[in-house]
Amino acid sequence: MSEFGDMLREAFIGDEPYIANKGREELERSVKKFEARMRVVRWLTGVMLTFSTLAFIAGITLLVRTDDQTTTRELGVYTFLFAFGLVTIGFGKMWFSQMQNHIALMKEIKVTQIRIEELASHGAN
Amino acid sequence: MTGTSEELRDQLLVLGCLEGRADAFRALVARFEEPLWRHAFRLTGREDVAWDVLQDAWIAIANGIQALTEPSRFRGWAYTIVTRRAVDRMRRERPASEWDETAEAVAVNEADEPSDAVELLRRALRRVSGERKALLSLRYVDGFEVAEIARILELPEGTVKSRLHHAREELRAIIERLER
Repeated sequence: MSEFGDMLREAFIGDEPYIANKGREELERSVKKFEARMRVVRWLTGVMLTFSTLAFIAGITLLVRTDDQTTTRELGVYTFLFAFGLVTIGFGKMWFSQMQNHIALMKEIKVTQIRIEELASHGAN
Repeated sequence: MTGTSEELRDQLLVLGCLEGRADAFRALVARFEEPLWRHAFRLTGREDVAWDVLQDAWIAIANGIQALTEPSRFRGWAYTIVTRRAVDRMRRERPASEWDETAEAVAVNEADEPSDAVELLRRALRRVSGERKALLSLRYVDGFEVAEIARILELPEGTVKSRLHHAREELRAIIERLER
């Protein structure tokens, strides 16, 4: 930061009536909002996973119980339930693990960058 | 790709939020509360309005952070949200033509000679309009590049460069007047 930037920062801050944690209660509301949103996401994911699993199990059970009297339409429905459940669970797990891997990888990269940065600054000193 | 240690730790917090961790979000709020409040105050010129704008902005951030694919963009994105909220609030409270005028009434007794260069700069800043003050602070205090400021204020880069130039000229002219 340039000397002018430092002076400007000091000039700005000296005139600004910032009081730390003044808006703490209101900002806690945004944290609660974030937590609530995460709960909804987890709940919806759980519901979808449960539904897909039930569809998969129902499809397999019904397919196993088919006999000569099962109509083509019924067979189609059972096959659809099985395939829907299988594909939804498969893609859902794939998407979720890809996302988690991506985040974990990015975190590792950032941690490594921080260590490099710290080593570089220790080396410079 | 590289950044300072502080920026990288902020990005780790954003990644924690993407994992759904409320403690990471709380730490992000604590980390950015002050700079975002100061940005809101420089735009609005009022303490109570700045807190309202900040609260609205954090709720919007809580709702939208999961869609942020690149953690390094969080800082610019958060400033953009605060800017939009502040501009909307000021436009609701007073006509747009008045937003460029001096944001604060200069009510301080400035009969005394400024004690140092910082005090001189402080007095000059009180006379600068809200938008130009925000531009100067984004560039020289918050350290954003022109391209990022253009994204935050939703202006073309050329306009930002031109307005920054005019803001510096205005500040220089005010300082020269105060020094006489």
